[in-house]
Amino acid sequence: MPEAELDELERYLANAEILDVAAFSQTTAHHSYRLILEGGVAVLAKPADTAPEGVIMCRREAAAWVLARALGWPDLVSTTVMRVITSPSSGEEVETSVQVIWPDYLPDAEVALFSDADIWRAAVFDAIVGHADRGGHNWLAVPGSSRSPHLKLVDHGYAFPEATSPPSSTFYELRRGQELPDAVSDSLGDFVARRSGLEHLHELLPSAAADAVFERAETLLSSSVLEIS
Amino acid sequence: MSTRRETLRGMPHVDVVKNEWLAGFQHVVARVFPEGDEVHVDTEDPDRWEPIILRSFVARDSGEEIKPDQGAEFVVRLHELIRGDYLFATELHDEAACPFHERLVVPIEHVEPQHVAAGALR
Repeated sequence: MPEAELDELERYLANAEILDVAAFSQTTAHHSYRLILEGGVAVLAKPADTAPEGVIMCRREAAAWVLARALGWPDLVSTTVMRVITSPSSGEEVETSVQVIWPDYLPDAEVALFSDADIWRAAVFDAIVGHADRGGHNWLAVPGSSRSPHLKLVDHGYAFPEATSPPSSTFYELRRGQELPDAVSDSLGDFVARRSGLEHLHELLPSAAADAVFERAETLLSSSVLEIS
Repeated sequence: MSTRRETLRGMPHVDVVKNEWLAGFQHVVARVFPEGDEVHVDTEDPDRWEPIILRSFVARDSGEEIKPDQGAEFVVRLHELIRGDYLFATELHDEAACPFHERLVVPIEHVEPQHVAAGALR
């Protein structure tokens, strides 16, 4: 997709009027809300004041999208932006991550359903972001009813560490120690050479965490092997 | 003779819940019961949900691998392992305390922002 259209989508998510806020009665620790925006688009909102360390967790959600886009893989992560909304829980104006909701999904589907290309991209993505919480969960198959669905990565609140260590990721473990495919190497090479998204990542993350993303990418690229140690 | 499902009914369990954000409801797709050293998954669609639930998970905080063959411990810790925006597990609870006791499908609810208490007092 042309970059201009993705820019436009991000601007819409960041500025569209909120018509409705709704939530489920039973939730996980970090409460999420469904917003309906003018024009009829439903999005998932994570206000920073609904979880411990909420600000950085929300920003990591947006950083995952920035990185996916910078790698040329905008189909892998839902478009996510930061905006300020009135928190449904406190009434305060708070930073909030806002992301498009995937339709027709099967959560944590068996990885055998996914293409080799999708598994490789997820493995490299998790290595670069240092995901600490993709061991057995936090992905979707879309469409959920398809025999050959596409892989979507979700929930990036526990990614982007400043230190370099192997991620906790099912996809990383599946391809660990193997040589990177050409298509993945090419994406990685472009990303490193252009420093794509660097400025935006620095806006969202602590400097050391943003720099660590590129350090991990350079490590993979220089060895041509999926191994973070 | 009672069926296995009838035998399990009323026992402590974990609800595995799928959030259907666009459709506007959440529903219990499976109930997970500890049975001694084993784990039993009660679901209308075992082909779909058993492979998703009965897998090894890695605990984020400790890096520890938690496996279904750990039986009751696996069930107790399932809520730490499945806790996403689209699918999550509740903590282990008695039937009387089950948030889905009355119904397995619960609609999303409109939320009004809470007003700040300090401001309201002035």
